[in-house]
Amino acid sequence: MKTNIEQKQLLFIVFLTQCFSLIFEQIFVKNLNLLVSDFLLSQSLSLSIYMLTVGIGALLGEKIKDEKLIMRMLFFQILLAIMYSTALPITWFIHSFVKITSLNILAPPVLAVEPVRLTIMKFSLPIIGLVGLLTGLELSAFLKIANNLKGEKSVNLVVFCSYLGGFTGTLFFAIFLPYLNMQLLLNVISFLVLFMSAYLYFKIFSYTRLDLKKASLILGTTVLIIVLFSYESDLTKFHLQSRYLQGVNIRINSLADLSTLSSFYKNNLPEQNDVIRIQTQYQFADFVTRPNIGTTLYLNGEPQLDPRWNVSYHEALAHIPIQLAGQVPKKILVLGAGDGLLINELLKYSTQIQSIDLVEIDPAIINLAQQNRFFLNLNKQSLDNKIVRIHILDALQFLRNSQDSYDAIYADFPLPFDYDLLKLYSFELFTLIHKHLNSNGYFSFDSAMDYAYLGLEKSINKNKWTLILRDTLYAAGLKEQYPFFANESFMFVSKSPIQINTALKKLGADYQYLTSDILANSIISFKNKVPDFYSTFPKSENELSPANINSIFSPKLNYLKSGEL
Amino acid sequence: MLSKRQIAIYYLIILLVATSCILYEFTLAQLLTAIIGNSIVQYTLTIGFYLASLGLGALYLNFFDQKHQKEIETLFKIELFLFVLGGFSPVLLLLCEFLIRKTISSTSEHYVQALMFFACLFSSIIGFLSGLEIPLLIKIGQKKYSVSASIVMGLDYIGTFVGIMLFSFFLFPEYGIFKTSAVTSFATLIILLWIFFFHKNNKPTLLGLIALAMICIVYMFFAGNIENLIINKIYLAKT
Repeated sequence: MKTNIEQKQLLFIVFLTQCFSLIFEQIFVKNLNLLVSDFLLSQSLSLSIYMLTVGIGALLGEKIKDEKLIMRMLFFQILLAIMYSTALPITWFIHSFVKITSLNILAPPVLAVEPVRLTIMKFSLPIIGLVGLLTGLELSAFLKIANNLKGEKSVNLVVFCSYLGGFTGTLFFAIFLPYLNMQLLLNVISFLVLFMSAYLYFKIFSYTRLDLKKASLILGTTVLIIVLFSYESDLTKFHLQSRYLQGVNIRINSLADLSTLSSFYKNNLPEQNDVIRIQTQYQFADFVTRPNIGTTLYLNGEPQLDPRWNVSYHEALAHIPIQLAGQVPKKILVLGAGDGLLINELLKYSTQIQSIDLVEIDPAIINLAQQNRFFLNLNKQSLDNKIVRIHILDALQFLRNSQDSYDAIYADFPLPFDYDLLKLYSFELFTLIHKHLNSNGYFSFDSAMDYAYLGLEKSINKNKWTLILRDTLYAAGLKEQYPFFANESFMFVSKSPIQINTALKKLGADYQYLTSDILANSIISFKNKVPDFYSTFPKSENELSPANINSIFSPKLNYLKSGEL
Repeated sequence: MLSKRQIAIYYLIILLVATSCILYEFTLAQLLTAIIGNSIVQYTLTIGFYLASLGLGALYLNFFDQKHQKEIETLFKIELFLFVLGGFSPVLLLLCEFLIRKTISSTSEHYVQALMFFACLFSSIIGFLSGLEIPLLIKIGQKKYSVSASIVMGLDYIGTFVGIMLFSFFLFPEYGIFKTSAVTSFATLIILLWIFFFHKNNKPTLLGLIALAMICIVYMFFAGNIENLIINKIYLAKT
C-alpha cells in the first residue's frame, strides 16, 4: 500500500509511540506497586504481560492484510490514547471497589489482604495487556508502511527507532518521574498520541477532511481527555481517600446494592478522612487526618506515625534498651527515623549524651521534620539540637564508610515488606553494625516480629520471620539477643554478654508510657509468646541454615504484607 | 529432511536464548538494587539500556556487518561471550564496586553514578549481544528450518515472558543472585551444546565445552560459598 509519509517522519512517530508506551508501562508498574505494596510482583507481572502481548500484537499484525492493518492505525492510536489517560483512574476504582465491597470481607480483614491484592492484580493487568497488544499491532503496521518506503534499510531503522524509543521512555521515567504527577503526565501523553494519530491519518491517507464516524471518535476522545485533565485532582483525591478508608464494608449482593455504594462515595467518603500527599525522591508521604483519631503519616502506603501509638512506640524503642543496659549511652547512632521522634526521646538524656549521628536516606523527610508543623509538634525540633549530626545517606553506605564506633545503635526502619526493605534487616547490615559497636555497646530496633493482626505464632518454625531475624543476627556476630515486647515487638542485642536490668532506674528522663511493670514484663512477655525462640537458639554457627540467613544477595522475603491496602 | 524433533529443539533454543538474556539483565538489576537500593530506578534503567542495545545489536548486524554469512559460527562466539560476561557479570560488577570504593568513597554522589555506569555498560553489552542473536537465529531458521521471522520474534517475546516469571517467582526467591546467574550460565551452555551437536562438530570445541561445563557445575555447586566469599572479601571489605 502506498503512503505519503516520509522515512524521517515515520521513524519519529515510531520513536514516540514506543517511548510513550514504555513510559506508560513504567507508570503502570509504579501505580500498581503503590496499590498492592509489592514491587517485584507488580514489575514482573506487568512487564512480562506487556512483552508477551507486544509479541502477540506483532504476530497478529502479520496475519492482517497490509491495507487493512494500516487503515486501522487511527483506531489503535485512539484506543491507546484512551487507555493511557484512563488506566490509572480505572485501577483506582478497582482498588476502591475491591476494598470497600464484599470482595474484602470474604475473610477477616487481615486474612483478606492476599485475596485483595490478587483481585486488584487480576482486574488491573488486562489493561497493560491491551496496551501491549495495541503497541505490537502498531509496530507491525509501522513495519508494513516501512516495507513500502524507498530504501532497503527502512525496516531495520523502524526496529531500531522502536528500541531507541523504549530506551528513551525508560530513561525519562527514571530521571523525571519522582518530580512529576503520574496522571497529569499520562493525560499529556494521551493528547500527543491523539495529535499523532490525526497527523498520521492525514499524512498516510492524504485525507483533507474526516468522515463523521472518525471525526466523532477523535472528538469524543479529546473531550474524555479534557474531562480527565480537569478532574485530575478530584480523581486523585478520591483515590487517596479510598486508599486510607478503614472499617468500611459494603456487601454487593444485588444490583440495588450498587446504589448504596454510589451513595457512600457521594455522601460519606469525604467525611472519612482528608489526605495530603507529598511526593519525595524516594517515597510518597501521605498525611491522613481522620475524625477522632488525628493525623497519621504513611510512607509509600505503610503507616509510619500514628497518634494512637506515637508515644508508646518511641518510648519503648528509645528507653527500654537504655533501662535494660542500665546506663545512658554516650555516643549514639540512629539509622532511619528521619521524622525526629526517636531523637526527641533520646534527647531526654541530652545532658549525658555526647553525640547523636542520624542517618536518613530521604532529604525531604528531614526537611519536613525540621519545617513542617505536624512534625515539629511531635519531635519538638529535636533535629535542630546541637548534639545531633544529620547524614543524608543510605544506612549501609554510611556504615561501610564510617570509622566511628558507638555505645548504642538504633534502627527505626520501615517493615520488611519487599526486597528493597529487606536489606535493612540483612546479614551485611548487621555485620557492619556489629563492627561499629563498642565492646559494651548495644543495638536496638523494631523487630517486626509480631503480627498484631494474626497473633504471634508460638512455634518459631511457623513464625518464619522471627527465625530468619534471629539467625541472621547470630550469623552477623550479634548473639546476645533479648527480644522484648511492649505493645509491639522490639529487639535488644548487646555486643557482649551483660547483666540485664529489668527494674526501672531513674536515669534522668520522664516517661509518659514506660512504667516499671511494662519494663519488667517486656522480656518475659516475649519469652511467653515464643518460647521456641530460646529453646531452639543456635549454639554455634554450624547449626545455622543458609535458608534462614537474610543476605542482600539472597533475601528471604517472609514477612506478611501490610494490613492496609 | 528435518525431523519434527529438530524443529522443536530449535524452537526451544530460541526460548532459551530469550529467557537467559532477560535473566542476565534482571540479575544485574537486582544486584544493583541490593547495593544502592531503589529497585524501580535500577530495573527501569537496566531494562532501558537493554532495549536500546538490543536495537543497536540488530542494527549493527544489518547495516555494518556484511560478513555474517557464517551465522552458526557467529552465534557460537556470541554465546561463548555471553556465557562468560553474563554469568559472571554479578561478580564483575561487585569487583568494579570495590574498585570504585577504593577510588572514591561510597558516600560520594559520584559513587552511585560510577556504579550505574558499569551496570549499564554490562547491561548494554549483554543487550547488544542479544540483539545480534535474534537476527542470526532468524537467518538460521529461514535457511535450515524454513521457519519465518515472525515465529522467531514471537518465541523471543514468549521466552522473555518466561524468563521474567522464572526470575521473580522461582529463581531469585529460591536461589538468590549468584546461583541464579549460575543457572542462567547453564542455560547458555545448553545453547552452546546445541550449536555444537547440530552444527559445529570438532574436537577442540568439544574439549572447550567440557571445560565450560565443568566451570558451570562448580559455579552452581559452590554459588553459596562464592556468595559468602564475595560478601566478606569484597562487599564488606575495608578499602
